[in-house]
This record gives sequence, C-alpha cells and structure tokens, in this order.
Amino acid sequence: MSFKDTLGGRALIGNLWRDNPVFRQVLGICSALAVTNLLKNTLLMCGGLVFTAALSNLTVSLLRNYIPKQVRMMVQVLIIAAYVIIVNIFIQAQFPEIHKTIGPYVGLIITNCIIMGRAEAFASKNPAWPSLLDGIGAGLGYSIVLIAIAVVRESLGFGTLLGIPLPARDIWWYQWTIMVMPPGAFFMLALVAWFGNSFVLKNEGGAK
Amino acid sequence: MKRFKTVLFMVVIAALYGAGVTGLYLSSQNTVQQNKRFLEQRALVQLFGLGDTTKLSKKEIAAIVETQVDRSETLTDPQTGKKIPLLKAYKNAAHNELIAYGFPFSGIGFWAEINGYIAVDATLQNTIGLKVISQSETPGLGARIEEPFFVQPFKDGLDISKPAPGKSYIYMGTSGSKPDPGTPQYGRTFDAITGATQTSLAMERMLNAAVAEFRRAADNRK
Repeated sequence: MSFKDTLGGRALIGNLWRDNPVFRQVLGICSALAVTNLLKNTLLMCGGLVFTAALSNLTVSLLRNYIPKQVRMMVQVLIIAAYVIIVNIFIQAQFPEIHKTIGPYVGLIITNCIIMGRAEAFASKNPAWPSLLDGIGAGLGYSIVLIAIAVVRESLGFGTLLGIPLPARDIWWYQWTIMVMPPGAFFMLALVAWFGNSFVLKNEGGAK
Repeated sequence: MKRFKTVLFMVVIAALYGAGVTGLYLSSQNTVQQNKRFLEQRALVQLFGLGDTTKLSKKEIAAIVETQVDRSETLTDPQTGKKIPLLKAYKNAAHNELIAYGFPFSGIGFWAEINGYIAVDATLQNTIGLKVISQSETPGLGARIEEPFFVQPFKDGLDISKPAPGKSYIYMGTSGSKPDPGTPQYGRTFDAITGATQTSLAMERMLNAAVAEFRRAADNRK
C-alpha cells in the first residue's frame, strides 16, 4: 500500500487541494482576510497554524479515548489555546520585531475554525499518526491559499514581495490601494475559491 | 459519579495545561523584557540620530543610551498635573553638548494604543524626529506610521511653537499638497496614510495633545 492510500496519506494530500480547508470546506476565512496584505505576515501566520493544527490534532487524538464526550469541545479549545500561547511566547521571545507586526493575529489562531474543525471531525475519531498528518495537511492547504492571495495583494497593493520592490516597478506598477484594504481580500478569496472549485470539480468530472 | 469524573478530568487537564503554559511564560519573561528594552533603546538611538543602529551591536546601543541619554528629569503639566518624562540627548558621554529633547506620546489608534517618542530641538521650536514604539494598527495600512515616509516630516522639522489661539500645533495633510505660507497649517503638516485615515487622525489628535502638554510643562519649568 503506497503512502497516498493510507488514512494519513489521504488526509494529508486531500487537505492540500481536493478537500482544501479554505475553498472547499470554507474554514479559516477570517484570518485569510486579515493577514494576507503582506506575504511576510502570511507566512508567519501559516507557520503558526501548521504547528498548532498538527500538534492539537495529535494531542486530541492521543486523548480521544479519555475525553468525556460532554466536554470534548472545551478540552479541544484548551489544547488549541495552549499551543497558540506557546507559538505566541516563542515568537515574542525569539522574533520580537515580527511579534510587533503579527502579535495581534497570533492570538486569533485559537479561533481559527480549521483547527477546531479538524480536531473534531478527524482527530477525535482517528489514531495519532493520521491525525498528525491531517493537521499538517490542513495547515498546508490553508497556507497554499493564503500565500496565493498574499502574493497578488502585496504585488498589486505595494509593488513588493516580502518587502522587496518588484523589478522595474516604477515603469509598470500603479498602486491598487483596494488590494491592501479588506475588500481586496474578499475579491481575491472569491476568485481563488471560484478557481479552486472549478478546477477540482472539472477534474472530478462533477461540474455541471 | 460520571459527572464527578467529567469535572475532575476538566480540572486536571486545565491544571496541567495551565501549569505548562504558565511555566513557559515565566521562563521566557527575562528574554521578552530584554527584547522590549532593546527595542526601546534602539528606537531612542534612531530618534536622536545617535548612531547607525544597523551597524551597532545590542551592547553598543545600550551603552549609547545609558551614557548619552539622560532620563532623570520629569516635567509637570501645570494644567493637568500630569508628569512627563523628559529625555535629554547629548552628543557625547560628557553631556556638554545637548542635541535634543524628547518626550513620550500615547493615545488610542484605530485598533489599540499607540506609544512612541517625539524629539524636539534644543530651542523647543521644531521637531527633529518621531518614533513609534508600539502599535497594533492594520498591517500595511495604519501600521505604516512606523515607516520612514510617515516620520520624515517630523525629521525635517515641524513647527511646534505656540500656534494662534484656536489653532493646532500639528495638522494632518494630504500627500503631495503643501499648505501655503501664512496659513495655520504651514510648516506644521504631516502626510496622512492612504487607506488609514482613522489612524492618521488618531496620530494628529494624540501628537497635538502630547505637544500641548509638553509645551505647558516646559514653560512651567523655566
């Protein structure tokens, strides 16, 4: 049995595109709108989310047989919050400059529906290894969409990528202020969702 | 019994995670405080132009602030009784050549509190710099108050002498249009940030308040 046929392999690969958490499951939209006007902020947010999603999935899976059903979501929030605080403390201690920029958003990872969604839908029912891969896949799937949005928004809004000016910017570039502002994120997210869904459905032969 | 087990489980897991996170928080506090102190020291060196912070080590930056910036004096605004820390920046450690004065400003921005310092020349008539220490404005928009293009007018020197009655010390303007000589805004205007009007207005408001307090306190000192 190849890796992609295993439960973990299917979870990891599926989350990247076919079951992408953002444009297929419509999860994690809030932060996709909030942090994508600069690629640097986006990458850091994605790193934090991959870490939190993977480890919270792993922990929820390991504890799944011990957590009373009535309080399982409270426990999941507690686990997620703990990992988010760890990410926040780590960035604050090791990358203070970056923390100044994205500090307010790191706390928001706690409320990211992807993490809670995957913990409840997958990790609470499956073994540890597939759950870890599912968390990584969900985080990476989210990251792919956010990075795509951020590349377009930063390029059009600031004429830069990771803060570096684009080649010959003075000749061709004209600032699209709307791309830096929240409406720009809505437009881009809608375009990515449209493109993603059309492409996935077409490949599955399900488009009508 | 089942309910008791559930409660016990919650208590135990909350205690475990709480203890773990608290431990991590406490163990990182030293580093976090050191980082905070360094960011402020570096900001002061940049604010007063005491050195090129890209070429200086953390220790050198700390030494410059300790020897060349005197933070011992506090002014009092006679109107409100508010205490204003006064920073005095000197060209060298001997403290025989004053470069500038500095004082803090703070206020609520679009999202949260903004803190920073304003530097003024020794005559107290013009700004020579502005540095934002902490802010949580929108990245890419309001957060650009830290960027060189925004602080440049303050470096170039905005007039902070006493304005005509009913007029402000500092005005927010629009990019590319300079006020005419003779108008109250002339020499007192900084450019707003496109797409961040509320942050720009908040900066205008808090800077005016800080400069007014500082001027009253400085006049009271004489």
